[in-house]
Amino acid sequence: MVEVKKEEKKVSRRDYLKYTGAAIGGLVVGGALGYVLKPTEVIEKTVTAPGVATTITKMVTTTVTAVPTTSPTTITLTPTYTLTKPLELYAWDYHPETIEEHLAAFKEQTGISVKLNVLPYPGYLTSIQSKIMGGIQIDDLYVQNHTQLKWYNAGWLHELESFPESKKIKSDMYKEWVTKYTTPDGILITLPYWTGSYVHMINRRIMEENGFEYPKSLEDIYTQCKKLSEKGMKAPYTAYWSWQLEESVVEYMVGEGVDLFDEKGRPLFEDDPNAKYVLEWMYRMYKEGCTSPTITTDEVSAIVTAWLNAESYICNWHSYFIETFNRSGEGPERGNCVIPPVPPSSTKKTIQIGDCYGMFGRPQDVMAAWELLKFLGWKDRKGEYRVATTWAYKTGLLPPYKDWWEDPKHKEALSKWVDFDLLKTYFEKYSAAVPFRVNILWYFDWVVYMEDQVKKMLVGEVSPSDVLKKIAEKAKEFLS
Amino acid sequence: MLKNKYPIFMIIPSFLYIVFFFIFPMVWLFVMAFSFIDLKSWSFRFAGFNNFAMIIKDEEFVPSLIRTILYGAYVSIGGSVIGLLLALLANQKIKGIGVFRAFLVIPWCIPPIISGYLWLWIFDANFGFLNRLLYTLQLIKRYIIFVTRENALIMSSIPAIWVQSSFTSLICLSALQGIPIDIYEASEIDGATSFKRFLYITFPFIRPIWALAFIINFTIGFIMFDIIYVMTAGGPGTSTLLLSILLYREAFLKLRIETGAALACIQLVVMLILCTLYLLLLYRRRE
Amino acid sequence: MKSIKSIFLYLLLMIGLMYILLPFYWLVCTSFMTLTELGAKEQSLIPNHFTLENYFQVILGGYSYGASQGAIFLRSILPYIGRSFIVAVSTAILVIILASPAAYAYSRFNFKGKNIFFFIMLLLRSVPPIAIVVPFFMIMLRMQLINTLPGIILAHTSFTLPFSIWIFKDYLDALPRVLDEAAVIDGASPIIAFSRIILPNAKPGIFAVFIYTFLTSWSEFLYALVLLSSETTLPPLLAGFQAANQVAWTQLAAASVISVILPVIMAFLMQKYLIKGLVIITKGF
Repeated sequence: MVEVKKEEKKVSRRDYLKYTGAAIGGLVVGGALGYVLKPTEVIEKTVTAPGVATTITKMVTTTVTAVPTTSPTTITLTPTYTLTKPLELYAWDYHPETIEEHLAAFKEQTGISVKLNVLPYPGYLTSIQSKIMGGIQIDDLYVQNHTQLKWYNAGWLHELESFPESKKIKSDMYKEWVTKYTTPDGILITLPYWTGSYVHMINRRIMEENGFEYPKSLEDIYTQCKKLSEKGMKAPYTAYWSWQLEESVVEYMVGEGVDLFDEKGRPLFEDDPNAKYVLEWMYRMYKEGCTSPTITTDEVSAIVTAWLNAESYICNWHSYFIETFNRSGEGPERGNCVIPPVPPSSTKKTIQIGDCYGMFGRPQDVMAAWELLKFLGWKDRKGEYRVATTWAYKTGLLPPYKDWWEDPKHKEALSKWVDFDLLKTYFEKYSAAVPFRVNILWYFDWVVYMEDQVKKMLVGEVSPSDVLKKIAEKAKEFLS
Repeated sequence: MLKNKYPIFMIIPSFLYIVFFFIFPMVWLFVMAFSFIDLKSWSFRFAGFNNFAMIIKDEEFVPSLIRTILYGAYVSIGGSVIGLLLALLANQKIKGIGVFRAFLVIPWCIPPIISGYLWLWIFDANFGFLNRLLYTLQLIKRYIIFVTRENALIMSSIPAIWVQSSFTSLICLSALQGIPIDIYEASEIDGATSFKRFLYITFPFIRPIWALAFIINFTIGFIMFDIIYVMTAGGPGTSTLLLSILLYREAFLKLRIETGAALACIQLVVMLILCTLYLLLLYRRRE
Repeated sequence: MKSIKSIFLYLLLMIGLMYILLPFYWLVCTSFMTLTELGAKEQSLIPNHFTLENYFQVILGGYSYGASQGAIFLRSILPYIGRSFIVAVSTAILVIILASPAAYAYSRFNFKGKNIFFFIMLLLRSVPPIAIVVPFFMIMLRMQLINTLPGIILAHTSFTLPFSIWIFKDYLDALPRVLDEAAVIDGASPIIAFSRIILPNAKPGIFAVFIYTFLTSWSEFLYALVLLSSETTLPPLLAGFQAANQVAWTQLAAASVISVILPVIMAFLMQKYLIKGLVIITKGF
């Protein structure tokens, strides 16, 4: 017994020495390699975002998985990554087969494997936030624009300001769009996935038949729709007032020059006569049959089908529906969609919309995650807008990058279903940034209340001026 | 009753299971409810009853609580009564009743989320089936908007009632089949009418099991999330804002999980109080 | 007199059948329509342009409404059915294995904590699942069971276990004790008495537990949504037919019909046993 014990002890001591020796040796080798392989360019920018500067300066690895390429617009060194597992990308369910194509191309260019996790769109927030709170490892993920600041404050999004390309990315965008992807202090936290404008998609045939011209104001819309309603059209004006009422309201308000909130979140609209005008206009449209009586509960397919079957004249919605109305939708009116040369509002402005890509706060490897993020949200290793172009050609989801819109190739491809130059002008000049939608943390709680009041107003329960008063007060409540 | 130490071994696996997978999350829930949570550092600070106060002071809380209790009541009353009627029907000794009994189980097999979509589509004001049916039968001239702010709560309880009535009918049918035949025959000899027979003989027999189904239906209605989320997401306005949706808003939309946890605890306590009252009522009457 | 009564009863039966089947009829109808017909001006109760397109798209995969902006990419529903089935059956089996000894112990033995268990069970039914989904996720993550089927099986088992123990305990309560006594006389320990003698006679009770657990697991949405991602069960897949600005109604209907057929068939086959099982439970009251 004693023999065995001694034997065991000897063995275990030997093992113990073996393991510690290997560990020390590994550390020494690792340290040395790290010292040797440390990239020559070290990012020493001091970043004001909390807790990030350290991770970036520590670019030390022993495994090289990247295929080095040089490209005029990217950094000159060869990034190396410590990745033992593929990168984890979390996306909602929209054309996952296209995403997989992109990831395959990404792997070809950089050698990094990415695992795509697809979550159903209706449950995206529940699913991804539960997973994050539960401690899952994510590298890059889809971010809904209105949650980005909350997630950044919770440490779930990595700042994107201190990477070498960040400045260039911001300058590549149309100026008005940059605030969409930054915090109020200007720190970049997301990259564009898709963008669009709120546009008025008009049925050209009906417009010409009735001798209308492009509407130039809300009043014009009202007049034209009223005429059509009297002729028997069920829903001359359609918009998504059921589940995205807030977007429409903001569009009208911004269009008429109403400043909704200042940077501190104080409501500015309470005594604005234009705000009252907007609400009264909405009430008139609803009451006098210019909209469908079920506009507050209509589903998406109801709106699209109505337009394609000539039961509607104007659809006021996201610009990618132009693709549906002119190319892929089913219905006799397909191909008849046009948008006004100037948004029909007194300020000649409409609003920006879109969602984003983001990097998780604690990715497996920051540089690798950044490579993927760049690829998806900006240019690929060859300097082309590969991902954005695929989305644009396939689905009409567009990027906010100046040089993309200047490319004649894209104009040629998209002119099949949209007036490319006109849409470009919308992006460049007519789409107003609405940062309060992103930056006021209690904004969407307020929206719930606001939508309720507006819907009550439409059915005549509350007057427009009362609505304004109530929602202003509610905003002040949130402020305090 | 046998007494020895074997029972412990037989219970341990399932007991451990429940402790691990349920008690641990519940403890976590209580801890969260009594803390301030900083998401970034994932640190907890003791908060006392602060979160509870915040959620109770929220102006949506009390209406939502009332709505949730009402919703539970609709589901339990609707589901239990219809279920009982179906069971009585299925208990009749007529030809082909076996087919009917087999069909009884169908609604219960449909997941609540599908049921929600289905009834959403049935009630749709533009293309809905109910509108089509009534229009084709020429009972209405124009399509009706079925789900309005006033009736949204009741309308959104219909999918749950539909599914739960199936569940209840199965349970009640089994109870009905357990009633000894001689009692029926005795009452027939005494010349009792069907209705009287039901009231004084049938119902007392199945009342315990029907009462069980009643409380189960209420529980399901009380914590319902799937159907509301799919059908109305809390709207129109706040007419279907139940506690579960409120919790979703607090914890997942506003990212204030500590108040969400507090809300869940309150919901638990309310449920326990209601259940205890119910059981007391039930067992009191039995004596 | 009797014939009037039976006519009346048949009428009621018709109403009852309509109550059960009409919504389901609409689901089936929608699955045979195209979206244009669904939203067409002339609305009919029977699909005019009967099409199997939705089923093909759902079973084989493809795009709804062409590959473009509004299109929803559909994966074949078959692997999801497979997963749902594996999860539901495994949950049912696991529950039966865990619940039956426990139910037997509760039924045949008297010891402290019996009422506490009842109370805990009531407590567990009152928790809204969304409240504890995050701690649950944490546990699964530590056990490295995220995105795996065993993880979701364990989760589903935890919901259905308490109630299953209760059902089975009630069932065993009503089972005559003669079998127990016979086993004891023969000198068998309670464990052997349980497995060799009681269990084979408890089939209806087991069926009742099986069907309850199977259906609950099959329909469960929230935990499947959180604990799984791409390789998930049917309910999250069905939710995914609703994209950002489009709902594939007709394909959703087809997928719903397909995903309901299996449990319906299963329930059909078992409902005899289910009712028998529940009969014996209720006798115990």
